[in-house]
Amino acid sequence: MGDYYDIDDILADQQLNVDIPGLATDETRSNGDELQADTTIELPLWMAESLAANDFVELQLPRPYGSRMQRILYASCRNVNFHALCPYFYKFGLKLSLALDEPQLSELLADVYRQRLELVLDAAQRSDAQNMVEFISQLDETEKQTYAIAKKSTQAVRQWQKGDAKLLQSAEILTCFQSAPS
Amino acid sequence: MTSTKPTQQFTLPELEFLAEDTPITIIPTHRMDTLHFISGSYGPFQPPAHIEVPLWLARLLKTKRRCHIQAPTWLNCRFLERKYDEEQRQPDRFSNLPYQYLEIAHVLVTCAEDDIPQSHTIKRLIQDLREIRQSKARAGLAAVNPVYLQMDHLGAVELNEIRPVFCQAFNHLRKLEKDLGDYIVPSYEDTQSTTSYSNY
Amino acid sequence: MLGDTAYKLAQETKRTQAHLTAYNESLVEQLCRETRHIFAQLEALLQKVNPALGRSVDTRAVAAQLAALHATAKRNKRCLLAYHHLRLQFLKSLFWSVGKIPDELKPQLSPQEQDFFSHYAVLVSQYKHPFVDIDLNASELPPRDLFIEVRVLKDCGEIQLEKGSLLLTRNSQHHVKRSDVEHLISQGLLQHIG
Repeated sequence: MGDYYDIDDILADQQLNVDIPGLATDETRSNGDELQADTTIELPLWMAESLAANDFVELQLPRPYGSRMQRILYASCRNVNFHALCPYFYKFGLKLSLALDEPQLSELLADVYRQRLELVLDAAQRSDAQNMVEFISQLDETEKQTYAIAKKSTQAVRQWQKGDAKLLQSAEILTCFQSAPS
Repeated sequence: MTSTKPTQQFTLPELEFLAEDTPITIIPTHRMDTLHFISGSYGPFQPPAHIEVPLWLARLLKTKRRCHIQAPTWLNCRFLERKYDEEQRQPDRFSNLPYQYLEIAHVLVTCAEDDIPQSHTIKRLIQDLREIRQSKARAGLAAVNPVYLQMDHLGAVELNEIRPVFCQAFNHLRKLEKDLGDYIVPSYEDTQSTTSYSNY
Repeated sequence: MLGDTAYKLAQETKRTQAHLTAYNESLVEQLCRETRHIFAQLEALLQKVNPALGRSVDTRAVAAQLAALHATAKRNKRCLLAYHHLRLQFLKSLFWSVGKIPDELKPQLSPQEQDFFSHYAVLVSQYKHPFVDIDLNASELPPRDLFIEVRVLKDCGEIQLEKGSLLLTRNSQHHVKRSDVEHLISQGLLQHIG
């Protein structure tokens, strides 16, 4: 459980709510409402997974991962706004692909990530960050992390070349709760 | 600062520090006895005899105006221009430069500008080389598959620059393409739990 | 809906990554209460299916409820732990990089967190005890010179140096031994200028 404390992993579990058609003889109750069998409801993945593990419910792929979307991604994924689809597009997609036993979904995601990686790295190495704001806002959280890591790395080299790296700095952690000293 | 977790990267000053062990030829301007250090003894210094010392000592003596530094054979315009051509001719390969070329060039052009012929052109050439190689490295990373990635002749700074991105992308792909096994790059830091705090 | 409180805390944890906010005692308290309530519900449900009582219930429906409640309890626990874990990571990093809790941060921390910080400090100092000659808190920036030039950003009063003491008033500049002032630079009180 390497990701147990990982907040992104936790939030990915909460995404989008999987559609759940209830099955005959199953009555789950939440908030006092009786659920009838054969109805379709949305539940967060962490709940749905646990119910599905005991065959109380059957899982269905949520729309952003449905066959229509998969066809779009096969054709071209570069301009798709992942943040709008699902901020944890890859992490949630991977969980779905495991939960529903659909390995081709995660393979598609791997292809998509690879294709978009070059754009992400390109953006990270550009110095005109202003023009990149819109592009960045359309990335999913994993891609944003890739972007942030690449950018930090490149900036460190630039700073060093300018000769700014040889001075002692105040601890970076201070910026997490205070504004820079005036 | 000492961090609670080891990081995946050296800092640039650390790389520079490591590169300063490179031997380099100097021409002392003053007569001096042998100098004794923990890492070894250097000298005696008898101008105008050339002598080889580590880069850190060369820099120290240079800033105290006690020597001239002889630029390494690769740090000249002709050689670097040739390498640049090579980089352009071979879009999918890196030319063979000294492993620590960026660090050594950085140290020398900052502390011994006057000892290096055409140091301005050299600075520009180094920068050109860095940029063309950087975009190659980027293309190489984008071609990453979950099995392997080969990029020969990358320098220490260049490797260090792409290491964290590579680890994150590679591990992410590994998780998605599960049938390749569970091998995850032994990253020094669980990239999936990278928080803004883990950089300290 | 089950799990909503946990989701709220998870979202707050995510925001905490970028900016540390005050310890959210009421939300933590609410989540703990909810989880205890779930536990009580679980026990009641288990009583229902107790065969000794011989009541006829739809065991499958009860089992589904048990699974849902149990998943929620585990989810709540995970969100609580992640929230506290991230804050403890922050405190540990703070210890290594700054060495003390800055005054403006104190109101953001719970008393337990402040306790943790001081206990952690004691633990580290015990660990460091055998290596008196090595300062484990020292900066990792390779040194260039023994002495450095610094400007004072905030009044720090008089500090003790190896040789005598030095008064650090705002905007004054000093030529000092690097190891004497490193911690003041990382605390943001001095600026290294050359």
